Formats: sequence, C-alpha cells, structure tokens
Amino acid sequence: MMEKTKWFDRFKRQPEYMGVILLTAVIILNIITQGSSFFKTSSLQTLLSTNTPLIILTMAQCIVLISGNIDISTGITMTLVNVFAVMMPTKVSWMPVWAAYVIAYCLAVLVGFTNGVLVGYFRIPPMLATYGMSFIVSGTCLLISDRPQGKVAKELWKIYKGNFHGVPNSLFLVIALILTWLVIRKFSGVKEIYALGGDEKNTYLTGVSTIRTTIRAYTISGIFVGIGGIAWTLMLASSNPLTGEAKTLQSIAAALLGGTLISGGWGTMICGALGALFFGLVTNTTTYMFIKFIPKFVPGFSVSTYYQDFVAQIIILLGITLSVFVSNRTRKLVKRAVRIKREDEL
Amino acid sequence: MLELLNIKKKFGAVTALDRASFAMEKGEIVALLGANGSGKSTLVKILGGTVKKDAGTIKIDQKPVEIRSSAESRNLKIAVAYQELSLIPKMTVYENVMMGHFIKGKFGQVDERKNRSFVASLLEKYGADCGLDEYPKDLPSSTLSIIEIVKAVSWDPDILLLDEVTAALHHNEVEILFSNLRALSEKGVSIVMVTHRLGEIFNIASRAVILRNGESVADVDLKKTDINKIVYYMTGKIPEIVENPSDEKRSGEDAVLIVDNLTIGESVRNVSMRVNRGEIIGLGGLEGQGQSQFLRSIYGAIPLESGSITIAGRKVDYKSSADAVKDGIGFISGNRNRESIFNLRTIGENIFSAKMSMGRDFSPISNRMIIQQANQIVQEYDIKIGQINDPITSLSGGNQQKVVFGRWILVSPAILLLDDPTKGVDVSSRRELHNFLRKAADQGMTVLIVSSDNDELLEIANRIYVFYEGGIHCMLCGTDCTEEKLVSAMMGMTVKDSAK
Repeated sequence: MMEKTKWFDRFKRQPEYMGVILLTAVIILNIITQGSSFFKTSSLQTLLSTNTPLIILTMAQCIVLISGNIDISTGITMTLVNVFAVMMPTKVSWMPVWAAYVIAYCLAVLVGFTNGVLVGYFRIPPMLATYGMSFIVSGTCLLISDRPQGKVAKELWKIYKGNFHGVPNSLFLVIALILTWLVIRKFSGVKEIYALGGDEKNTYLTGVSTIRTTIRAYTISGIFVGIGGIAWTLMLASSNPLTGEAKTLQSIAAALLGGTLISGGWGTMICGALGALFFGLVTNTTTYMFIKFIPKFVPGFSVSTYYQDFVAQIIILLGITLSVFVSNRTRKLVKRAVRIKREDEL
Repeated sequence: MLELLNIKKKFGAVTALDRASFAMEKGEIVALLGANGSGKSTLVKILGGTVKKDAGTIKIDQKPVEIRSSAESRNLKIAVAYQELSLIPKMTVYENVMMGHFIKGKFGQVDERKNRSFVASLLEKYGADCGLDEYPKDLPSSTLSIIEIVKAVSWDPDILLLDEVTAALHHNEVEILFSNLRALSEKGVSIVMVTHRLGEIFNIASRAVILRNGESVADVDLKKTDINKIVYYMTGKIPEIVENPSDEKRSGEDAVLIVDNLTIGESVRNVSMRVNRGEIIGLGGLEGQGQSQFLRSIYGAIPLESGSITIAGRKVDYKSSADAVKDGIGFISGNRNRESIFNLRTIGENIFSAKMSMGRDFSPISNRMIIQQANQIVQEYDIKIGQINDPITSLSGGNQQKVVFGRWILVSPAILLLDDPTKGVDVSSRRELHNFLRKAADQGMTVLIVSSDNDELLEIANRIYVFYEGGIHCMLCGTDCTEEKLVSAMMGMTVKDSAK
C-alpha cells in the first residue's frame, strides 16, 4: 500500500499527470456513450489519421515551449511541406516526387533553424520573430499554389490511412516519434533546453550557451514539424495552402492541455501528444453527442454545427484552465516546513 | 597562479572597481573582504564571466587570459558559487548540479547512473540533506546554498570562488563545508571566500585581501592580524563596541509605526521597532542583511510571514502596495530605473503618478492639472529641469531622484520609506535631498531610510537600527551615533569578538 501511494505521489509530480487524467476522462466518456463501437478499427483509424498531424505539431511546439519560447509559424510551415511536396513535381519537370518530399522536409528544418537564429542570436522576441517568419512561409506557399489542388499517389496515402492487424498505421508513426523523444531526452542537449526555459540567466551562469540551446530547440521543433507536414500531406491526399495555419494555435492549446507550461522549463513531448489527442477526441465526442447520442433520447433534436464547436471549445478552455492550474500547483507543492536543524538531533 | 592587476570597472558614472589587484598561489584559501560598495561582488563576477572588465589584466599561471563569457570562465577551470544562487527551480537537484557537464555514456547520452552516484556522493560529503530528484523550490535555503557549492565543486575547478555562501548555512554545516574546503586546498584548489562573517575567516583562510571603494587597500596575513585591524582596513575606522545598547521600548505617545516581531522567510527575523511621528530613522548594515525586504514588507510589496505592523494605532495587513499608498505610505527606491521612474514619460507625469494612484479608476485628469501641480513642486523644491514635458531621462540621476521625491511630497504621505535613495547621486543633490527630508520631517512626516552609506545615516538619522543577518543587531541613538560604533555593529561584532 505504501509503495502504491508513493508511486502515485511521484506520478502526480510528473508533467504528464493532467494530460493523462484529461485523456482518460474523455476516453471513458466515449466508452460510456459509444460502447465497444469506439474501439472499432475503422473509427480508431479515422480518429488517429486525422489527428496525427496535430499530435506531431504539438510535440514540436512542446520542445519550443519548454525552452521558454513560442513558435507561431509551425502550422504554416507544415502547410509549406504539404504544398511543396505535392505541387513542385507538377511544376518543375525534372523534380522526382521523392526529391520534392526530401526538399520540403529540409525546408521545414531550415525554417525552424532560422527561427532559432532570430530568437537566440538576434534576440528578437519569439512571438515577433516567428510571426514574421509565418508571413514569409505563407507567401512562399501561395507562390507555389494559391488554392487547394493536386493529388498524392494513392499508394502513399493508403499506407498512412491503412492498418496493421487492426492497429492504425498512423499510430505507429506517433509511437515511433514518442520513442524518439524518450531517446533524445536522455541527451544533455535536451536537458539544457529545459534549463534554458527554467531560468535563462542561471543557465548562462552555468556555462551553457543560451544561443546554441535556443537554436537547438527550434531546430528539433523544425524536424518534427517536417514529419508533421508529411503526415498532413498524406492525410489530405492533396495540397491545401489554406487550412494548415489554424493548427498553430490548436497545437499551443493542446500543449497546455497536456501539462506543458507556457512559461517554460516544464513539460515533455508526451504531454503534447496526450494534449493533442484530448483535443481531437473532444471535438470528435461532441460531434457524436450532438448527432447520435442526444437525438437517441430527445427525438427530433438537431442544432447547428456551430453549437458543436461552441461546446467543444468550452470543454477545451476548461481543460486548459485545469491543466495550467494543476501544473503550476504540482511545481509549487507545499513548501516543506523548514527542517529541524541537525544540531537539535544531535 | 591567479593574478589580477589593476582591474577597473565602471557602471555608468559609478566606479565599481579602480586599481583592484589580487594574487593567490595554488592551494591557497584567501578571504576577499570589503564593506558596502567595495566592489568584491564585481570582482567575483568578472572572474565568473558575467561582467566584463574595462581595463586591467588577469593572469593564470603567468599567462594573460580574457574572460568574455561564463563558458570561457569554466574552460579556465574557474567555478563560482553565487550568493544569489544559479539553480534552476524547475529541474531536479541532480540535473542542476550536473548541468553543462553531464557524464556521457557510450552514445553521448547522459549516463543517469554514473551522474547520480557522482552527485549523491558529493551531496553526502557536503552534508546536503536532500534527495536527488527533489526540486529546489521545496528545499530550505541552507540546503540550496550547499547544492550551489556542490554544483561549483562538481566542475573540478582549479580556482573556486565562493560568494557569501555561508550566509544561509547553519553552524554545523559551515564546519562540514570548511573541512571539505581544507581538503580541496590540500589537493591544490585555490579558493577565494567572500564573506561578511569576519569571525569565520580566521578559521579557514590564511590571508585576506581587503577592498575599499573599488581599490585593494590591504593584503594581510590573518595569523598576525586581529578583527579590529581588518574592520579598520575595510572602513577606515577602528570599530568600537556598543556596550549598553539603548532601550528599545521607549514609550512615546506619538508612535506612528510599531513593528512587532516581523519575520519574512529567512531574510528578516523577529524585527521589532517603534517609530515616532516626525522622526528620521536610519536602517543601516551591510548590503543584503534584510533591510530592503523589511522596508518593502511595510510597503506591502512583500508579504510578511509572521509578526504585525501597526500604523497610527491600527493593525494593518496590506495585500498590495496600492493599499499602503492609500494609507499614506510612500516609497522611494534607489534602483531608479527598475523601481521608481517611468522612463518614457514626462517629468510632469512622473511627479503626478503617485497622486494619480490615489484617485478613482476613471476620474478625469487634464494635462493642465498635471502640469500645474508638477510645476508647483518643481518650483518649491527648486528642481533643475528644462521643460516640464521633457522625458525624465533628460535629467541627471540626482534630479531624477528629486522628481521622485516630489512625487511623494505631492501626496504628503505620513510615512516615507527610502531604500538607498542616494546611490549614484552626486554630492550636492544628495545634500539637497537630505534637506528635503529634514524639512518634511519637521512638518511631521516620518522617514525610514535604508542606506549603504554610513555618512549619510549619521548625518540625517535621529536613530539608527543596524541590521545583521536579518535581525536588528542594535539600535544607536544620541551619543552612540558614531561611525566607529556603527561599523562594529554592521559587522555584527559583540563584546566577545573584540576580546579576541
């Protein structure tokens, strides 16, 4: 029993605590309302494949938030990958499809790196630097393609939307990225990112280069955004320069839902994944509630879809409030009473 | 092995270091001493790479070196334990210690096991009572100081700088620290100790270098020197012990401010005082002994942990400074840029700002009203300005401070609190400010002034409370107000010390 409470206490102090609670709550709600049909391969598959880009984007956002900065160019960068990879082969005759994907991916990393240089070396406030960057990226997107068009080869998106023995393939992608995180968090470079977000001045005093650490955080973010962009492309199965940008703010909200703090130094990429999944599930659940669940009991119930969004956003806002509140609390845990001086013990 | 020659450093108009020199051998433990504003912290910061020197040379093993960043300082095998701590609150103890130099495994990853056992052994050696996975926020300040020292030592430095690290330590923790330091020095580590506890240095250091006003004035062998001599080098006065401290419990009917057993964490401990109407009270002591926190807690800027404050016969518990201002308390900080002036606003607006906070949230304020009232203050106190609509930054430091003073005169508070108001202010402005304060006190305003300048305290204060390590060491009034006695009280000297 003792052992168990100890384990729970430790879990409570982890950044993921609130994300796990929120996600469990919404999953339980789903099981109650939908029953076993929630676990049907087809519904899980749709749920995951539509939300995987947001999950990856949130993971990317998390590492930047941990470093004490913010990146509001992630959504549009994801769009750039999408537009570039789909449209360039049709516009530039010598470019094979695989090269377009590789270059698009590198562009995302480059955007992240440039953001890092602007914020770390030139000391431009992160909000401004990445906002400016989002315009450059958005302009580039529109230069390549100004409307939704193009097609992704069926073989490619079939893989993404397919499943392996009932487990959606997109889930494997998310798991692979989480495993990547579990490996890279062991490196001192990532620990320095935490230090930077925790206290910039003291990180400098410790002899860690704050410039290099900032650039590192944004570059890691860029690496993840690139993968997110490819997932986004496969999900859309076409190119769309318009819808990606909205994902930026969603990813910041999702990161906070998962327990990452906007003030920096606290959180993990797993928090991001949990938060994004919650985000996706809430939207999913409210739609289900309004369309299927409530009409079952109240015949003839029907409301505009705007109400669905309204309810979903309220739940998300409540979730964020709860999560930020709890994260702040877990860090502050009651200051232990000053210990008895050892002189007294002797 | 370490040699500093004629180091100079100026912060704006203030000279922090001027011809400071310092040398030490391998394995030596040297105490670096100095009173307020002597530049000892600046010297430590220059070696730590956080402050750049203006002139002078630093030599390590006879080779001149440049220290441009804290990373370069680490590369030269210099490690610093800072007084204000360099720990990161959201990281665990073990990550804090190893940050920047984790022991790496085969693939360059952090080898948790090796790091942990290394940190655990160090923590145990230095007697830190904490787990590896605890967060600094949950630990008492004495443990944090030890972690800060362990963090510096973990770099395996050749030169170890300890800036006031013993201030937060308990007696037995200091003992453990000192035996560890001795062991380190035998291994060839050179150690510089900055401390205000003069009693301690005789136990640990062999030599003391003393700074005064940014200059190194003496380099003494501690075996042949006594504490009085050291204080003399630090302040230019031979300390005189206060033998019969004046009685605290003077019962005046006019008590405006009564503070009873005020405690704020570990920075202010059981401070009581009683202040009468129209008095000018000086709060003296070395920097960082709790005076500033004490003043701010009266102003409602820092919540008090226990104790009570009674103002004009009424117990108060301010939730914020705004409550204090409404109750007739004014506050002037010596840190003008950060805590008192509005850089971009005009002189008139700066004068009017306190009055504005007294009004209702949406009361109309005309420009004419601001200018008229501000002009009145400017004329009355003869503040030299160009136009009332010039930005306040067009004025010199002294005149800026006079403007801030005028801000409070406009609302005529019952109690005015000043935290080292004449820091970096020229002599004539300082004299004028003193005159203003006297005039205001004559008219019934009560003034509490913290000052790092002893002359200033002796000149204007009716009584002086001397702070030492968060408590009031003694109170000086009447004939006790001499520099010699003030100096001895600042160093926390008691009758026992002088007998040494």
